[in-house]
Amino acid sequence: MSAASRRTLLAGVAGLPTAAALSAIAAAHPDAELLRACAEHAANLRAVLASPGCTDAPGGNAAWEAYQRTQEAIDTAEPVTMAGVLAKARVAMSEAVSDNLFEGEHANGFGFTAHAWAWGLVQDLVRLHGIEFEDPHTGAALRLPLDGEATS
Amino acid sequence: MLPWWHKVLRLSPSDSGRTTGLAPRTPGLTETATFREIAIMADRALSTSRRGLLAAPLVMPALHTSAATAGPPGAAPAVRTSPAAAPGALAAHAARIGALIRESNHVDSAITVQGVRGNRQHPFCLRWNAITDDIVRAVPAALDVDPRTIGDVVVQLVLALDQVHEAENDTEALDPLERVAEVLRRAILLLAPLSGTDLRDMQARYFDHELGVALDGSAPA
Repeated sequence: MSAASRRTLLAGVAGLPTAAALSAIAAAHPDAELLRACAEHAANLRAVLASPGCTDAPGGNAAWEAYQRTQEAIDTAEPVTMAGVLAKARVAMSEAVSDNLFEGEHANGFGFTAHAWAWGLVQDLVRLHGIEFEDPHTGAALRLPLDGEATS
Repeated sequence: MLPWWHKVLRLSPSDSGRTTGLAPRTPGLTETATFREIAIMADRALSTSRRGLLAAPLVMPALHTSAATAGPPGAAPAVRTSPAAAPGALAAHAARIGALIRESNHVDSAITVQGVRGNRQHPFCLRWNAITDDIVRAVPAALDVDPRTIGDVVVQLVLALDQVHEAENDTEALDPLERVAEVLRRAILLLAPLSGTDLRDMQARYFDHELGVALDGSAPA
């Protein structure tokens, strides 16, 4: 990977939202909870990356627990606007970039998260924009499988 | 770290590397399967899903709707959803890759029926390898295309995620997660204006610039 490309990707981590940005998120926004969780998660990711040993501590520590809390919130949220999709895409990108920056027992975990959220974004875009997939053999509409749902 | 598959399987982080001791609920798992083995199976299940999507033609309900509700001859078709959602620059790539995957699936089935899996000189296995090589060559070209529509973004995300799985045992491959990150970055650049969101405004509201350049490579505002 080129240095320029690396810098571009690292800029993804550098450009994470701050807690101060939370005040700019209107509570009335349909995706307010998701936007807030994404902004907080970015800050939590930064904190975890700054203390790579934190996940190995018995019971975790505050940074790790905060990270897991916002990760769970984003996992369970379903964006209903493009702003929500974009915020989720932003944190998924940050997780993907962070996968190579983290050493330790749970290395690759950010990759798993990025993977799951990027797949979730496919589902979100299909759901919000009415894109359908057609079974090439029967012509029937294909239903998108949920995360973790086995297919035959 | 609590990887996504822990959530899928409702596991505890401390369970990693231990045997489950659980009654198998997924075909193919044994009671002594480790959580790592379960994770690999979960990942493969997702990969199968993605491959299913890649093999399926992308269709737009609006196009069907316009045909069904067409007005009098000469009238403009009634397209009711945004053309931005249609497959655009990637349509040809997606069609070719989808066709290759469908053929790959058929050949794979034939290999199973004939019982020749592992016989590298058998014509079916040779054909399967050739198709796989074609797919491997076609995907990077598709990921290099600048997306122009939401359909393009969907296709590129599915392709990039499929690469994560396919590169699992290929140490020579580029880091597929970096490809996912790059697809996401370009998707954000495309989707922000398509959705009426000003990119600079979005970044100013949700992202700080204190440490680097913005998504579009510009200097911090």
